[in-house]
Amino acid sequence: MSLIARVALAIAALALAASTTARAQENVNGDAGTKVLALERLWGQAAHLRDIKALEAIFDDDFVNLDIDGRLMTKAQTLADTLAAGPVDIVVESTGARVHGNTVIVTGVLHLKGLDGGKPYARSGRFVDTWLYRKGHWVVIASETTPMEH
Amino acid sequence: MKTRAAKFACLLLLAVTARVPMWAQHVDEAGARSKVLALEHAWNQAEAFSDMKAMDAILDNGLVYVDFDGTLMTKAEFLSHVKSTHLEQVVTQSMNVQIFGDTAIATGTYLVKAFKGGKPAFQHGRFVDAWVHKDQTWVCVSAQATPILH
Repeated sequence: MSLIARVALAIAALALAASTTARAQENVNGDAGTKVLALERLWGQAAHLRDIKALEAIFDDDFVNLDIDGRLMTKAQTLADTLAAGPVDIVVESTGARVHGNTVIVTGVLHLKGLDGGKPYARSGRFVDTWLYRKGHWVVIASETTPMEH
Repeated sequence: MKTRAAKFACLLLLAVTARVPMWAQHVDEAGARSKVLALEHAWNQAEAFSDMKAMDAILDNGLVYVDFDGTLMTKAEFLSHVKSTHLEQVVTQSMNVQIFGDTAIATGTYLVKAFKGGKPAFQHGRFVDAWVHKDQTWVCVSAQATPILH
């Protein structure tokens, strides 16, 4: 093979590699919001059913959770808290997602209904969740909920 | 003798080169953590002095901000809110930054002294901010404050 042919082949290979990477990135970005919103719904169901195995897969190992009372919890503490809590009805509304490369920010409002010490309660809060595309999966790395006063 | 020395040199080189990426990653993470921490402090200063230009550079255009009372704001709404609020002091404590490649999560507690209707008002809460590395700089893409109720 001539030198020119080798150079041309190398350039073609590089261009192909670059376009494949760009396309892969586009797919992540294009589908990211939809995928993450589907995972948000799954998370709501898993929390309602106290499905620890499903929650373990959704939360990153370094997950931080700031709950509606202002408690900062790790993944282990959040899972323990979910198990210890009584049954909770969770309704999520007004959800939106913003994509920043391999990071997605989800915002929404959630309504909680349950029993605390045998007494019924109902609370509403605004949440922000941060999702990260890591090792081929979307995982949530941070979640915060603020009680809504109005 | 020569062969043994050459083998040893090769093994040493392998061991050193294998550790270089880990070391480089560690240095990168430490650098990113310092930068995000510095930006968190710069944000406090800018907010206390109503320095809109500095805040404009720190906050991403797609910022989502959830205030202490659950109000959801865009970047423009948040900047306008800061302009209209007279903060006397912003103190942050127990700040921690976790790095996830080009994404960072900053957590901490804060105490704000402000004036509302001529009277001093204090807010004590916890915050979680998400930062993304974009165009060679770190920008805040989401910020949320939650009152500490426990």
